[in-house]
Amino acid sequence: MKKILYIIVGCFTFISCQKELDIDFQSAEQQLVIEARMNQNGTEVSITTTTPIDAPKIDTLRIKGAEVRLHDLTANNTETLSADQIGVYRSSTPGVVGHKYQLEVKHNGKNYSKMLTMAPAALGVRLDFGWMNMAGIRVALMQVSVFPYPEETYSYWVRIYRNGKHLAWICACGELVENGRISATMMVGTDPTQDSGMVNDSNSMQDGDLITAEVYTVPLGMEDYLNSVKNSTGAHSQFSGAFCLGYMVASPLLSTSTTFRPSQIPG
Amino acid sequence: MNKLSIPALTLSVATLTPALLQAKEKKDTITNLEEIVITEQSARQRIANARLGSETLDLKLMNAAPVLFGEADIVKTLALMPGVRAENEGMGGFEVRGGSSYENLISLDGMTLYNPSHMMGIFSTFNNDAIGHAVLHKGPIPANFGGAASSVLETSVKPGDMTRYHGTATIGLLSSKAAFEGPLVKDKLSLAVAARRSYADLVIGLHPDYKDNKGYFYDVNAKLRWKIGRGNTLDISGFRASDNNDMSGLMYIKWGNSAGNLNWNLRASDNLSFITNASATHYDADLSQTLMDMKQRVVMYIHDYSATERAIWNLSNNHTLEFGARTGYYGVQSGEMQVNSQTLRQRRAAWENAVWMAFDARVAPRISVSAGLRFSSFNSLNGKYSEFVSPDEPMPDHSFKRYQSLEPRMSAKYELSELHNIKAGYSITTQPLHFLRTSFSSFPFDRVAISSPSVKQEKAYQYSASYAGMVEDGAWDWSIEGYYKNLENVYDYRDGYSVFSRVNLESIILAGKGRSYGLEVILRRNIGRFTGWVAYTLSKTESKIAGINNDEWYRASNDRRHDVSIVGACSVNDKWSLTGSWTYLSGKPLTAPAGKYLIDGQVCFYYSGRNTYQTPPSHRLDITATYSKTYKHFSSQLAFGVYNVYARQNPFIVYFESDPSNPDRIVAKQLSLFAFLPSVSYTIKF
Repeated sequence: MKKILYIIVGCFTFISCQKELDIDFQSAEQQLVIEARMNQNGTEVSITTTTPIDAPKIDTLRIKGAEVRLHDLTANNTETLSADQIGVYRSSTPGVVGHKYQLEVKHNGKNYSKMLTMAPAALGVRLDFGWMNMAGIRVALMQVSVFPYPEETYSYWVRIYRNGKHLAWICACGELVENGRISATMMVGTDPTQDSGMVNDSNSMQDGDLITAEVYTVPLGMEDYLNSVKNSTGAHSQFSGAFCLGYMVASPLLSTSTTFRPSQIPG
Repeated sequence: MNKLSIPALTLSVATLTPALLQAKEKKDTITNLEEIVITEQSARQRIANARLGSETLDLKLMNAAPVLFGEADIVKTLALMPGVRAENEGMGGFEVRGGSSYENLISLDGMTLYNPSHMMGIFSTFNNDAIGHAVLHKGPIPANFGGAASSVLETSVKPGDMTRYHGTATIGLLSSKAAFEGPLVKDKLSLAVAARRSYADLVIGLHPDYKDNKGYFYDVNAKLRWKIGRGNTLDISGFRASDNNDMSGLMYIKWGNSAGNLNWNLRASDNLSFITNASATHYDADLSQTLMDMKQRVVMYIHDYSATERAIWNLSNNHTLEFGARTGYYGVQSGEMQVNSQTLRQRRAAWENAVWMAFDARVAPRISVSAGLRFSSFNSLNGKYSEFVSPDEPMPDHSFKRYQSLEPRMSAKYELSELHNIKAGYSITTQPLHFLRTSFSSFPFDRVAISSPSVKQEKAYQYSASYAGMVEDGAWDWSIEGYYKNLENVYDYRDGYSVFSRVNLESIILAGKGRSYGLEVILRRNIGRFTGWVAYTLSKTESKIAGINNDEWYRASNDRRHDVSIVGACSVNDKWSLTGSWTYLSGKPLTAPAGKYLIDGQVCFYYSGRNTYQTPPSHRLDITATYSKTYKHFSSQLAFGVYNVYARQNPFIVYFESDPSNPDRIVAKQLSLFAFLPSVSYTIKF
């Protein structure tokens, strides 16, 4: 029996192979990238630029010379944000749920603007783990459940961190509420106690990893943008004015953490 | 789409050349593997054909086509013709003259088949044991066909023999198949059945870890023919193809066509025939995944019902007039999405009616004309025929909308001599179903936008001209054909959106225009121990859609500049024959990121233009050696094949990702399939 399986596996080894291509990339104009996050603790705006695709390193140097203004259109006041030492424009004024805000950025003679109403926080977020048997291999699953704000429909941007480092995004669409929650499931690795013959990649969770989920409430439709960024389908601009990349979110931040313990996963 | 194919008519008007007569006599006296010779088209027939751009597939050379896992495939053979190419390396879909694989109408005995492929497109659903006839119309298509902007592949199931029983069985590496035909009532009623099933899952399932997994396909073709009387025949055909993949009940994916057809041919007098046809097709695709307590499912379907009447009047030996009418219903559910008990869906329906007239005649001693005029009225239905459930998306326009179109199709041939001719043609075709491809190739779950108030019918205007010639004895023939196509209402996804971004498909696609032009050359060797052809196509296909690529023209995703096929068949002796093909295809357009940036620690890409790069070219050599032996009551055939003999790594998918050792560095990765793939199959036939 094993011989037959080896033959089949051998055949499929012949079938597919992967190699790196040498592509002569075209040069393209640098674009501004604005990341703006408003929550109950204040506002942070980070401005960077795109790096040519063939550069060995991504340029993470933040632009400090921009003019950044935040208008609370509901309270009718304006605050100018200034960059700190690492180039993040900050305001310590907490965002107010239901207030309408406008972020304005001026850089190199170009204007970028985004208007947004601060959304309410989700009621809660929970992380659960489970096993799945996939052709004899036990695969660990993580389910993220968001308990949505009940009175209006929003989507939720769940950012997963492993030991403080980005692991994944999940965009939970508010239309798909089931029993008072929106869930999404992802595979996070194989059973470390099982000799599956499979090699876990660097994204696989390890015993003892601290897993954190942070949730921002976002307007319906923003999941299109987040998915397009995640799936590399060419994100459309979220700002008006000159073209730029990036986003603005405004909602209280909700988070939860847990430690990944394969031995404690039921099943 | 309209989907009529009338093989009986084609055979009745075909000139019976000496070669065909010999083949027919041969068939009457022996039953061996050569009987499919009756479908071969000789050089003289090709030269005689007044219709421009129609290609009758020579089933005898089927094994010259790439044989994957021992499966000869009619579509892979078609892809060796000029102007036709495989949708992607090793795939079962085909593209014609700048159109996508979804712009071809695929008709089997009048039944329209949607996405007729197995194993995610690796094989077509055509079982070559079941097919009796195949014609590809890539130029002006006959007026009785509609609904396809690019081409019509007209195929038919072989009817059962009215006097004797025949059977064939083939065992291959991936699948086995069997066919049976014979009289149920001699000279009155016959049946032909052909079935195929893959069995990798049966072998893998023997292992306890894989016993809950399924992964197989099957297809069944059946045809019942009743000779009611002289010139009065009733055919009932059925077709079922299905792919089923199930991973331990956690995930399944299945799709397939179920179709049926009733065709009544009645010769009312020596000059007047009627063909009455009713057909139905259900294409269904279902994808489900259950992880922990989350169940997600995508369900889509296309339902297609039609009835057609054709009256064919032979005015004289050289003049044929046809009148026809068709009515058809489409029901389309494009991507119902379910998450546990929540369901989001969009469903639309349409009613299409068409009338046409066609005229085939020799209007002067050297001039033949094949002309037709089709009028179609497409009605997007509202009320109970449409449904939209997605509370937080913008409501699409579900009101009634009618599109009417007048579609002239014409070919004219001028005979320079008995051996040389020139042809010119013009056609307008429309297509009401827009298939939006998910990725590089067609995929069973590609979304379908049916024409509606917000989505117009695609319209193609084609101009073409050719020169064809042959030598006196038919040993060689050749043709050069050029075409220019203008396309209106070509749809593509908006930047940033893809297949399941929204239920409301109309809100994530944009309309524009397209153009395609090219030159096709073929040289054939028809007689002798060594036969085959060399084909070359030079072409260019572009799209221009406001909102995409800065509103500028861009290469369509199926634009390929050069396409070369060299096909040969050699009869070594009475027992051994060799066939082979070498193909070359320029690289496929590719959208590559222009820049990279970080969002929250995740590497993201910025794109400045669509399809501005190109994958490496594809080329490969495929060979098959066949050992045939004839016994007293049966014959056998043992075929050995190698796909991609020199193991060329042809691009199947090219994608971009971070280098694991340096996540800031972006690398382009090419995934290749099928490098050096041997196969063997054994066939017996009685």
